[in-house]
Amino acid sequence: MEADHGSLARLGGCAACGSEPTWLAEEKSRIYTLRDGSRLLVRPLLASDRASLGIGYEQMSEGSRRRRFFAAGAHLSERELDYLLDLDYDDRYAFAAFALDDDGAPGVGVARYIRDREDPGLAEIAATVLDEYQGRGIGTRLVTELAAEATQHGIATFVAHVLWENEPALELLRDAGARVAPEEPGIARIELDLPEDRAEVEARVAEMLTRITPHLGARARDLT
Amino acid sequence: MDEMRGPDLAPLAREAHLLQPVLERAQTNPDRVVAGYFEDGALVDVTAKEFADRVMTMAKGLIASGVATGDRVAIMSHTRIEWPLFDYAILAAGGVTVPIYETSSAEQVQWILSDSEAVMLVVETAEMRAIYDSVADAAPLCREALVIDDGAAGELTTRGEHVDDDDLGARIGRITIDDLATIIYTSGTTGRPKGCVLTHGNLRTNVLQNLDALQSMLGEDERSLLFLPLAHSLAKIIMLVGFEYGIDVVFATTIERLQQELPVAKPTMVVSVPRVFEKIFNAAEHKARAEHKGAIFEHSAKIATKWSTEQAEGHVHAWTNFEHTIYGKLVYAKLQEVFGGELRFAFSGGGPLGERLTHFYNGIGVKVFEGYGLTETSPTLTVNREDAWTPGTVGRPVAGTTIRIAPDGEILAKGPQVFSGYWHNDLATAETFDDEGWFKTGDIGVLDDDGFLRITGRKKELIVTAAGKNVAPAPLEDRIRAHELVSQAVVVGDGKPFIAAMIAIDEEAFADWAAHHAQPGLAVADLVDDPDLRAEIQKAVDEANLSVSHAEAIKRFVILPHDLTIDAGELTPTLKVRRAIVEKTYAHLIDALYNS
Repeated sequence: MEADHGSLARLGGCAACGSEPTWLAEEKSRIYTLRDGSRLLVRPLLASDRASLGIGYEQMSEGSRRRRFFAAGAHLSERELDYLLDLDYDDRYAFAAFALDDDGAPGVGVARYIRDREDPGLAEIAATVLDEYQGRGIGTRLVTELAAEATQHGIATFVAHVLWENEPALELLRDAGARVAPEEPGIARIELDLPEDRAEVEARVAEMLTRITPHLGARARDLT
Repeated sequence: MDEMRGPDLAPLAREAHLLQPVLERAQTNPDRVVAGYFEDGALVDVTAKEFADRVMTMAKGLIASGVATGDRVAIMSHTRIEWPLFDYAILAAGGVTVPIYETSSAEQVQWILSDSEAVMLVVETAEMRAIYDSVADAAPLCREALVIDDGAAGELTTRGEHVDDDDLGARIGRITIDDLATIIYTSGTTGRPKGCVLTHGNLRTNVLQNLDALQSMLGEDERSLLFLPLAHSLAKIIMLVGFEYGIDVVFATTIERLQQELPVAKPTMVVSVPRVFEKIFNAAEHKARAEHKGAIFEHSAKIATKWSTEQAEGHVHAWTNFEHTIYGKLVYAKLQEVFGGELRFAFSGGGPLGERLTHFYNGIGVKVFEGYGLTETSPTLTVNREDAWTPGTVGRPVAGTTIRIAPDGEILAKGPQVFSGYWHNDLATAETFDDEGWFKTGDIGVLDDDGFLRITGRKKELIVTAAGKNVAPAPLEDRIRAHELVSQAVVVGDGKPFIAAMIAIDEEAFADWAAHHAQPGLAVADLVDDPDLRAEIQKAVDEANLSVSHAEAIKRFVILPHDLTIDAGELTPTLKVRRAIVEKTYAHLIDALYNS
């Protein structure tokens, strides 16, 4: 039991402590091997990740914060953290990624969708990966996971708002078949129709990944 | 100003191709050391004659291998001495070099080989060869791949033994400035990477343009250490400048080995991207802290920056000068040692270095020249020079070049170094030139009164005031947001007479502030006109205004009664700020700002 405690805690909770919806973390968690050989744990974001989320934000470069929030505040407020962690895993879902091979298995990225209030088939997505972990396919991995999950919750289309200057993300999304249109100065609106099932999502992403060259990847600001 | 022309530039002679300086120096100054590389940690010199001879024998090998005039030959290798040897050999055989990043994926290798219709590929390693093998079927025109690590140069030398000198001479004799020299692939916003076609004339012109800007800094014996990828146009042009002028171009083994190789190569100049300059500064600072000399380092860095800033303003105070001299011996000399001890100047490109670091490096005796350009422009369009050096800008247009600022702020360019189009992609070519033939950079910038270009933003993310002043809102907003009381700032002014800002208050920080200002229990909405609160926010606005010209400065601001909300659509559900919607929601407040 002691031995399991650590790994369960890493998964986001511990049944023994009754702290978190461990069932969710266990059921939906997967470990992937990245292009560079390191292991990545992807699992639903949980309320217990609050501290990591706050720290992670502070570790983001100004540029990454701006690409994610179109603003570059120094920290997330408690209210913002509340909001970002208020997930029901249906209308509001987020996955987090952890670098298992690094000290303390730090959280390195988050991707979320939030269902549109008027159109239940539509959800806005946003994703971010810590600067030093960008370019390894983590953002793509997170969004794949999210897309696969979204299809099971009746979501047919992802919409994202992306800065025009975030060309690598735009290119990636275009490669994935997204429609890109100007929105307001500086910002593009992206619409991406999701495939029917998980297998198709995986196949499409795998194809996309081969198109992303490592040198482009090094520049790529992971997604939106 | 809207338009700035660089100094005049004499047109190139028809035969002024890229091989000319290399071949001429081999004749006139055969023993001059023109290049170097590392072998087992030791620096090996290459003379002008040795270099040219190797180029010639390899060129013969290419001819023997069936490379015809105009054929494309690709190079996939990291930066090393063989890179320019193959590059020049390809040119001498009448061919066109197609660089491929050493880190490219199989798909990209396939795309570049098939799109460029390369007939041959030179790769560095067996691993790269394997990548080629996996896509070879999709690039049927590429007949073979030679591996540098497996003796590609020697193989070509053997193959070329029976090729007549006159055959090679005839090929070189036919090259003109209008012939293609390279096709460099760049990834744009749409579709596959596009091949930028650059002629001998484009590149040779840009070499001379860079030299013209650099001339005053150059002495008899200059040495550079090259470590950026030569597949990138910035590294490539600086290398070409080196061979043109007779700078000893030393090729670093890898970036990881820089620390060991800098003290051996002792470069007098380097070319780099801002990140390297930042890293070296940070490493020095870290080291100083670890040795409990953090305070000294910090102060010395401040003095270096101050000294340089005062110098740029025309007067160095006596005390600054004194301190600068003291720290020169204590600290700056040690920093210089990181670069090998002889570095005098550096080129920085690929992104903004920032005024502070530029002044810092100048303060320790390393003049950093920031420039600007794109692969499509060979690349240099503007660069700072010794007699026209303004940190924070990317300098003035180089000789023969005109920079124009379009009505929407986009930087447009004309000059002999600007390419004529993308390879086999007329649509992309058409999109990149406007009706008057200006090259559209996609970047936003301003020319100051002295003709220095400042890059202020990227496409479309800008406000154009009624006076036609283009203002990039993001930097202003970021600075205002740095204030702890500010949650969000939205800068407005499109089509208006001046720039204004709408500022949302951070409700957590506000609660503290209100308690300290005898306003406990009140909400932001109650205090939007409170003089104390406004005075506090004014500080943040003043701070932001320090970064811009008068015309771009925020003249008025309004405090919003509530923080931005998702319900109002001001934030997207994932918390992205929608400037346009904030403007719409508070249109009445904005109107009041401009009409009061």
